[in-house]
Amino acid sequence: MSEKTVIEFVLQRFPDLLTKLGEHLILTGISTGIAILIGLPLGIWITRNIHIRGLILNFAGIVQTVPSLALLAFLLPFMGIGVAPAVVALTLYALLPIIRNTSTGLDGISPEIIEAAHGMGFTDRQRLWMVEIPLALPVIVAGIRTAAVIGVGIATLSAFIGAGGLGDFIVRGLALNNTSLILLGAVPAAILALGLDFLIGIVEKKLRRGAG
Amino acid sequence: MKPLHKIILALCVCVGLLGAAFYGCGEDPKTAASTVRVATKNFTEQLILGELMAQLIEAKTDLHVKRQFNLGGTMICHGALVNGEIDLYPEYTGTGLTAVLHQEVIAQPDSAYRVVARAYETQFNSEWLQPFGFNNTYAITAREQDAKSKGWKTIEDLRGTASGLQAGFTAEFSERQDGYPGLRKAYGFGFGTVRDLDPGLMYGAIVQNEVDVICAFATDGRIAAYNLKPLEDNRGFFPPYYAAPVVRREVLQAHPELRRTLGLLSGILDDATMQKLNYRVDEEKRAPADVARKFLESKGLLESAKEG
Repeated sequence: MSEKTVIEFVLQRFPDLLTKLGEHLILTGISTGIAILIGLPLGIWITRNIHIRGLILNFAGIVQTVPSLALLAFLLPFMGIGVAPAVVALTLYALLPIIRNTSTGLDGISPEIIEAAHGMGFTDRQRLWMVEIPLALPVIVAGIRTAAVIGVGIATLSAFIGAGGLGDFIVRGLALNNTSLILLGAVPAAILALGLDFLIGIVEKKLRRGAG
Repeated sequence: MKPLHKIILALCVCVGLLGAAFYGCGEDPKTAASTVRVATKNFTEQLILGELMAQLIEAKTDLHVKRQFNLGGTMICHGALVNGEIDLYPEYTGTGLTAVLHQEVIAQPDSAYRVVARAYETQFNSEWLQPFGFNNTYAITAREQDAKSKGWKTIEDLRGTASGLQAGFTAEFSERQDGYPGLRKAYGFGFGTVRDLDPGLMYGAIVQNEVDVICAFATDGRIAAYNLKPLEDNRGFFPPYYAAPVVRREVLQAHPELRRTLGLLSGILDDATMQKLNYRVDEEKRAPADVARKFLESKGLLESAKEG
């Protein structure tokens, strides 16, 4: 395929590409966001409550192990097709990295600092928000980064259930044995994942330097 | 267990699994020569047609059949046929004409068949055998109650409200020239939202009001069962889609009995019967192999005695 026709092809499908890229970003963004809202508190909670810890981590771990297409298909009878089941499935997959990294980050804080904070008269809540979380932030952000990258990949499966996204190009390309179409979906998805990884990685590095 | 022992045990398990996998893939060289590889696309009707052909070949000839069913779509089956990775699969005249040969629609069914058959002989060294008899055309389909309340009888009737409608199409239909892109050109209007759906999910989606129109298959039993109304293609956009076995010439030459055997299926199915068979699999959840066998038995092509 000559350079010219590749560019022509992309230009011809450009409006579609932008739409699907937008859909993909929304799917990944919303699900990662919800996973943060749920995962962060859960991650904090399991560092305070040893009994719940195993249960929560095991649950998130099992969800991760279920093959993504299977989980999506499983949700269909309950949620129908479209964005809703896709977001639920993506959120479930984003939970483990976020919960685990939150708890690991908090656990990694040296006991001397906790003692010092206690000695300085911090309440538990103040200690959490003003000492522990800021110190654990680099590790927590690393978890968000993993979740986002996983999310971009799994979101390509939404194509089967009418939720849109770059996966549409991949599935259409597969059905028609059209490599250009497959790449039109796969390459932007890969770039998106790499881009998110890079950008969130910058945030993570800045936090590490700040905390270190 | 010592760490080293654990590693060795893990490696042995992996090697064992790999070995089992490859052993399963191996073929007995004796049977390979007299094996026919039958493939199908990834929807119910194809699975039934595949089973009809496979079971008949197994019963009436000495050939062994390797089933490669549920392949991803038209172009995957066609590509595999041309590459010699499969020997035959059921294709539709309209699909062969527009999606494979990229030719203009031919509305007359016999002409379409002749043109397609000739082209496949010269271009792909493959032969179209006699059609099964039914026409599984695409049908833009809406819910019966919507059609009644809004007075929809033809596709043309959708023009006014189309921009506010949600369409659920298969990935193939969304891209093929005899699908949505061509339809939009022929009628001059499009739908507000188009969502790609797995073919199996389309019917549930329209019944649950998640979409308003779908690209149903005319012989799908669920159209009647789910109170759906196919709209008339008033501009005659969709070509005829008569299904027939498409076989590699090499295979027909090596096994001429195939032609006679598959010829037994010529004209054996009309639209209504195909719909019924599809319904049995899709709604009654029976296995395609069972439905195919019962049908062949009812036509006296298979003996009712249990086979090994």
